[in-house]
Amino acid sequence: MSVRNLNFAFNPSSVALIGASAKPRTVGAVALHNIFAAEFQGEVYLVNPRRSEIDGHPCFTDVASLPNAPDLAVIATPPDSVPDIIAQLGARGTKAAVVITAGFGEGGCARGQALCNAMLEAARPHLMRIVGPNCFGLMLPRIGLNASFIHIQPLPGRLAFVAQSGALLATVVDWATHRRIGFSHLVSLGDMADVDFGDMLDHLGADNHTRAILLYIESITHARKFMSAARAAARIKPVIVVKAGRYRQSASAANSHTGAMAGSDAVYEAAFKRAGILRVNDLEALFDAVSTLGMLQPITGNRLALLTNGGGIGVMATDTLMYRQGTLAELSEATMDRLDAALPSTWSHGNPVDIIGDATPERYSEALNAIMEDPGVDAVLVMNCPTAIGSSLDAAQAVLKTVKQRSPYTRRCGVLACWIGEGPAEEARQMFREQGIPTYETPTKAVRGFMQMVRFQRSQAMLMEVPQDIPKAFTPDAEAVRSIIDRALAQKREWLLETEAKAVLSAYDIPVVPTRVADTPEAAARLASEIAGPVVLKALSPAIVHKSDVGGVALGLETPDAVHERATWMQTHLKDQATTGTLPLQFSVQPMIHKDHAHELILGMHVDPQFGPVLLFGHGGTATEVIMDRAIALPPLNMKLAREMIRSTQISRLLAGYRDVPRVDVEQIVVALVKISQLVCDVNEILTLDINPFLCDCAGALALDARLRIQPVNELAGRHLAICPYPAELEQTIELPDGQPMLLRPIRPEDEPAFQRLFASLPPEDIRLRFLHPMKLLSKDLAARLTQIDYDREMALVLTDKDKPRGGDLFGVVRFCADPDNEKAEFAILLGREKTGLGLGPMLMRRILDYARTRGIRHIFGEVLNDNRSMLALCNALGFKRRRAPDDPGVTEVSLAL
Amino acid sequence: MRNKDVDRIILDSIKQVAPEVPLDKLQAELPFRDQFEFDSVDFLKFIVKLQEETGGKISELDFPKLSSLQGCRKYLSTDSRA
Repeated sequence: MSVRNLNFAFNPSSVALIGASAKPRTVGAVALHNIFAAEFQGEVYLVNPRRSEIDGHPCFTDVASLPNAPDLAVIATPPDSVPDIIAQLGARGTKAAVVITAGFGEGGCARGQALCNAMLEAARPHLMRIVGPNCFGLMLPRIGLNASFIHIQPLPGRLAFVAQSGALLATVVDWATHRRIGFSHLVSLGDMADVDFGDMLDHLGADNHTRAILLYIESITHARKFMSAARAAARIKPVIVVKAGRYRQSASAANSHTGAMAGSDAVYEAAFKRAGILRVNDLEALFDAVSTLGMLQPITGNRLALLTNGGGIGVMATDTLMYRQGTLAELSEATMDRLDAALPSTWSHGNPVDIIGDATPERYSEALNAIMEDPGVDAVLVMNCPTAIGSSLDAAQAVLKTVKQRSPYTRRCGVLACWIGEGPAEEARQMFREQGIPTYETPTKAVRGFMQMVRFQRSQAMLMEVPQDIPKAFTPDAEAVRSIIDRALAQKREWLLETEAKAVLSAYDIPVVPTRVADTPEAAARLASEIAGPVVLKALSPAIVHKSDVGGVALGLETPDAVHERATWMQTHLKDQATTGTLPLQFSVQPMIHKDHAHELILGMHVDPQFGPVLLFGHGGTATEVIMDRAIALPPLNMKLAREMIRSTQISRLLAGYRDVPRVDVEQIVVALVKISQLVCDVNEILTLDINPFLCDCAGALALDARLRIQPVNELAGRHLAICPYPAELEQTIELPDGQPMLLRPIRPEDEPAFQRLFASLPPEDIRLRFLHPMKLLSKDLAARLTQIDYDREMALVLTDKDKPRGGDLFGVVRFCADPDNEKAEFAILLGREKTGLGLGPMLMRRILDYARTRGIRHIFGEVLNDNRSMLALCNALGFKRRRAPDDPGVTEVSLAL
Repeated sequence: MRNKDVDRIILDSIKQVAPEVPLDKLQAELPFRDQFEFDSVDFLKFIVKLQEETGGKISELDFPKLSSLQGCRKYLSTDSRA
């Protein structure tokens, strides 16, 4: 759960193989062979108690006799010996180990589990990190280290691949190496007793040698840590995941609609999407991703041109592109003219550009040049099928030459190649790979590879989108909710009464059909007489969860007498099973809502065993689970994410209106989802929430029924979520001497426009001093980065008008960004000119230092330009130490131990 | 604390941080920054002096209130520790 000491595992200068063996076909022998074959430049030590040398390499009897403590130990000894070996290594000063050995409790074996705990206990005092156990080891081709028992030596490259399954790692290495695709890291995580996916994402996200990260995941540990690490890494580089176990349903979830519909795979999908990770479904798609990401420069858009010597493959590529919702580029008139001039009159006169089966290398070259210069084309897929007329090898060479000759200063256009066939085509594909052009064997694979890049680019753009603020500020009545839940918990109830559940929703300003409670059939009839039109009568008892199954629901009762009669029947028939403890059977009475053209929706929440609370939106009603049209998302939601959820369902198309059914104002559903998200973030006792149906038409929306299940908890609200919610508890009011109240609060993604305004208001000199260099504009991605923060690792406090807490101006921002281990944090401060000299600068600095201290951060540091005298003086007054930045003489580093 | 004492404490503290300020011409309503050179370091020093004089700790959240003579008067005469 940390990146501490991982550098010893992934950039070691010395390695020891504990359990080196001379016995062929053993892990110890293969690992030994691999380490020496890969030509690792650092020291290698072998440990074997019974041999003085193996294959001419000296052996040491034990860890104690090693001349130096190795940075990394690779352990392939029997499981019983491992805890001791770890303890000895730790005592010598080794900081990382890869435990290849299995037998640590896989499959729930208690003895193995105990050994695993003993191993972790042995490592803990030394902060020693363990990769594995039960893994294939790790390979770092960049530094020539192959500490694994994989059959092949991988090539160096800039992709990192991390897999839970060692066998899968071996498969990918085999496939990639034969295609001359290389890796920066290949890591088999095995049982993940210590180092997990979150750690790897943090480490690889920050690693300059890694351009893209590929993961094979079966399950994750520490969801919150994983989400923080994944969101951080995916902002910097592509992260692609294959998640296996797609059809394993969470068995515990069947007691609510939401639970039954939010299967664990859907939750993973939602988590990946939220983090900006691309998911692919199978090994083949992963291979395509490896080809694409290993080579292609980032593309700038989604418009693809197809250049082919065969009509059929052009059509197939177009089909795949359409199926995957890609865009076929429209060629400009100028491009068409150029192609007309260069090509025989039989060419296809459009995209796909079919240059005909007798295409010469020159024809490829001229067509490619024209297409790449078309401003309406973001990437071009060049295809070739073998013919007896044109040589596919010559065609490939012409394409390579054309790409190479393009000036680096012209507009960027991605190039992908698909050379179909064996023999010369295979040779051509090899040439493309060597020149860094992604290459595929079929048009389908090629287009899929392209679409993966498009999806990545889109998810990056989505991460940068600014969510709009909730249209009308609402203040939930948290106390009302608290008292309902406390009362139910005190009565040891698991389910709230329907009326209580509705009261909870009302307290969060979610529209609910008015529902009243009656103790007797007479009282129920009286309530019915006050309601115009037919009513719904329901039995109200914590003991009856499925009311309609036992006759506890009566719809469309027209008269008070009918209500009296049904309530009396319920009293007679349900009394015995419905009266629990101090709560007698009661009745709820609500108007019968019938609306033509209304849509029945479901809004819900369910606690996933891995990711905690998840939210659900979908097609509601009694058949909701049959229709299974739903979207899942992790809270907290903002308007943008809620809208995205709705948009991804089928029913959203009905909501847009069709035939004589008018369109629904989707914004009211969006707002309801945001409010439910807020409720779920605030109240961690909620275990299940089903609002079904949530009735919606052009006139409005209304929750007709609600079920809410609770459990006692003893952790702070918000801690149960996989994504840290907005920490409202940090909001504070500050008063200026003229009495003007200001609000100091954590930054929100919605603040981006105000942040841009603050930036624009600063004189160039202030900008230079703050950002360490002159900047005219604040780029979109930097603005997004500074306003969309992970509250678990960063904090930015902004100063705004108290009267305009949303959408108003920002007067100042102070922030810190901590390392994943929460040890050191970098701070920065920005104050608008208008508010300087009012004590706000020192206030903000003191505030962020205090807050960092409460978060357990030990050191805070920052970089200040040498000529920023006032900031240096302020840091000095606050007790910061100063030193010249080693790599920049114009900058002073200031730091403070907290 | 009497108003006279409050003023003495404030003016003494200003004098120690910014000796050149003509205290008799100070306008109570205007922020200090609009009347003389008063940067954030001066501000912090001023707060430290006020704390010494009054023997109480001033929370950073109250700093902005103390950026004018009037604000200081109000704060110190209502603050129970002062």
